[in-house]
Amino acid sequence: VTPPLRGARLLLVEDDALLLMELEAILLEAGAEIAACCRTVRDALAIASGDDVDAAILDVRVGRETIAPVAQRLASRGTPFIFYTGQVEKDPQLAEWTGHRVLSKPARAGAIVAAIAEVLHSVPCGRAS
Amino acid sequence: MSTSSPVATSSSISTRELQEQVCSTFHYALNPAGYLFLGASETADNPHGLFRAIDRSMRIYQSTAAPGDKPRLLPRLLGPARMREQVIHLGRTMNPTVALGEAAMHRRAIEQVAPPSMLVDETHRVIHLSENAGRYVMPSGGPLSGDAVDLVRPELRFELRSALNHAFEQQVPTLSLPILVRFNGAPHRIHLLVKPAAEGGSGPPVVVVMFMEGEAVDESLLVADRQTNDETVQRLRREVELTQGRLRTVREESDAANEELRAANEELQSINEEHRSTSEELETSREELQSTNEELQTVNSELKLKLEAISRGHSDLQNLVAATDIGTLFLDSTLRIKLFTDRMTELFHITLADEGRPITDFAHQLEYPDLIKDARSVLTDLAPVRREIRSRAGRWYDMRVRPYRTVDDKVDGVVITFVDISERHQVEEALRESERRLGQEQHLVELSRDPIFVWDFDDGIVEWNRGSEELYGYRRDEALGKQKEALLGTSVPGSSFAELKAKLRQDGSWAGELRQKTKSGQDLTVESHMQLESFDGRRLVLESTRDVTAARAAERRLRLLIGELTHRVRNTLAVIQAIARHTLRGANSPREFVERFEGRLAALATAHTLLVGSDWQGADLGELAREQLAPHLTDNPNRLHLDGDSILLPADLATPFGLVLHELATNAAKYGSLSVSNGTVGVSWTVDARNKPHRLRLVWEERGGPPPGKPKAGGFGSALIDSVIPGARVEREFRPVGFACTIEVELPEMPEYGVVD
Repeated sequence: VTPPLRGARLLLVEDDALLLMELEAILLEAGAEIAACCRTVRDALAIASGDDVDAAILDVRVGRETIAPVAQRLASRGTPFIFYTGQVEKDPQLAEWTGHRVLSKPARAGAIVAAIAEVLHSVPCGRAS
Repeated sequence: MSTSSPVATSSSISTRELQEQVCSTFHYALNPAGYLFLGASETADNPHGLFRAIDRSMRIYQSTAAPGDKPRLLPRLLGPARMREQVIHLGRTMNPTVALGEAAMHRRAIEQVAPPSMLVDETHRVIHLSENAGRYVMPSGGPLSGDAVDLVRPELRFELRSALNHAFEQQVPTLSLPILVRFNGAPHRIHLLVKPAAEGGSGPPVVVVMFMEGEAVDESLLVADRQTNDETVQRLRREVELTQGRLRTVREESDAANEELRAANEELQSINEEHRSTSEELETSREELQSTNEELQTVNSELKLKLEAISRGHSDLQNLVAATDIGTLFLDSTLRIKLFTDRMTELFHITLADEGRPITDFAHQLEYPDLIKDARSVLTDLAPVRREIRSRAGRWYDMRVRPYRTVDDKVDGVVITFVDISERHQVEEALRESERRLGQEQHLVELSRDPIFVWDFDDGIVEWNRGSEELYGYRRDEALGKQKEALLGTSVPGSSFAELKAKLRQDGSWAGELRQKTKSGQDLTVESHMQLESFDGRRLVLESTRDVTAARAAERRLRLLIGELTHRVRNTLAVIQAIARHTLRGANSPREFVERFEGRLAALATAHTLLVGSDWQGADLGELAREQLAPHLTDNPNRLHLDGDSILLPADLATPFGLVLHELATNAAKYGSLSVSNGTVGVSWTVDARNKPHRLRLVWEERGGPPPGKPKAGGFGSALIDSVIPGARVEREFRPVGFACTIEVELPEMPEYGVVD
């Protein structure tokens, strides 16, 4: 069976180390490659500006900061991403990203993998090569 | 008509004389046949012959002088010479030497040759005597008369009178029979020729009387005649003589009677004159009476008009008194009743019969003991008194006491009026009461701690109570007159103040939330209720506000807290999920998984419990360490040494620290100092506060345990210790004396809840 995310390089942004480790484990299991695991917005911005990322999973609140700059950077580069957040659905910070998939914590591993696969395949010029 | 001092030279004046003189003067002054108009009380009958009456009743006379007459001399007024004498001497004043010539010679010849004559007018007055007529003139006694009959000798009078009458009445000349007249004792035969001599038909008729004288008759001859005549003649002569004697007697009697008649006539004339003057006086009196009567009539009509005016005024007054319905009492200066209106009977027990009685005798219905005193004081001071007084029946009266002034401004008593003002008084009472209540209510509003104020829809603030002062910080005098929206920096969330005003005008009220600023610049959120009311053309807005700033902040905080809570719960669930998966991967048996998972879950719960206990302010680091180690120190709690100041770990550090301390304790209990009975664990921490953010340095040291061996790599526990605390630098040392771990981490500023995001 071909792993669903084989070869996809993913950026993970999550301030909680346990969750980050868990996400990494799930995605690696699904055949993805992890471009970077970032626990701060600053680190994530650096990675998002490079060409190494096919898709991203973003926590909305990172430490005391918001993920908005990273999302904007990714959007401007056409990199698809999904939100994985414990915030309530009507979080005003998500208002400007209505077109993006929001996964609510805690999510099953299969749901996370399926969401990433979906955004990867919906990109017209997908980087999943 | 008067000459100088006519009175001084006369010893007596009779009115008759005066009248005659005046009439003569008029006659002299008038042209011949001129007219004389006299007053009603005058006549021109004396002296006789000067004037002819044209209309006696109107006193119009005409002068008898004909044109060409020689003017009479002006009579000397009241002089010693009598006018009548001059009249008598008129003839002598003629100048005989005028008009020479043949005609004059003829006339003179006639005058000398012709028998004596005299000219008589129709009133038998002698106008003119010829020169030689004197011997025939013998006036009778008494006042001198101009009458021809009276003037001639008595023997001629009878014949002359009848002849004159005959001549004037029939215009026929008369020649009398010879009349025997004795001149110086010698009888002469005289014939009288009386002939009318109309002067050309014009002018008054006159008669010429001529005395034609025969020769003296010899008496002896007469006697001889008598003797020689025959018997018949003798007898006839005797009869004639007898008849003549009778005739003489009759004539004498007639003369006497005539005299008497003349006297009577004189008297009658004077009586008549008296009557006339009396009548004239009466006439004058009558005229005076008439004018007096007319004056009286005028006065009477004026009086009548005045009476009518007074009567009308009186009825006006009556109606006024009845219509005004005001109790009025007129008192004289001794306070006796003069007049009163019907309304007064309600207050005083008086009837119409009581007029004139002193008012002090009557009881009244007023709670006013000073009535008499006030009335007297008005009488003395003349200053009006006005009081509001109450009757025993509970009605109120506006009483005024004024001095009674007569038309000539004399004070004669007082006028007391009572106007019933009960209704006005009630209204005033009600008004006072409502004003008092309003004042109280206004005071209560003033005292209210709730901000209540009033502003003019088109202008500034008009009312500002204590609650407003307290909330906004502006004193009443600072707020009044200011524009409300400017003063309070009012803004309407989601709208504008202009829209608010439009809605207020449309609906009459508005309620909602406003943002305002206090005097000190603090932002306020208030719940405002506005009510628009119109008073006297002003549109006033009553606004009451309630400060909901704190409530709104609390609501917001609550919403954030709920969001935060949800977030944490979900995160925690996700963490538990991750722990479960990791624990499962490292577990060799379900029993080991359950044991390890339960331990880690308990560590999370412990951290959570501490956070909740501190109201999520943070978890005390010492407490956290003690709690995580407690399950392994049940035999001797002294095996744990804690050293460090009390420090609160924020929530996002407390949980990871709890997990790390749990893993360290589990490892110590499995492999380290807590695996033996006398091993100890020391946890010490310091905070470097020299720079911000502060750095926390925690050291975990195990003593008395077995020498540590290298743990197997890649275990979840080790990874957890190294990475679970965000931003921490973790150093693990496996010293021969025991395991040690140093964790350094930045302490974030203690966040306020609700400001975290």
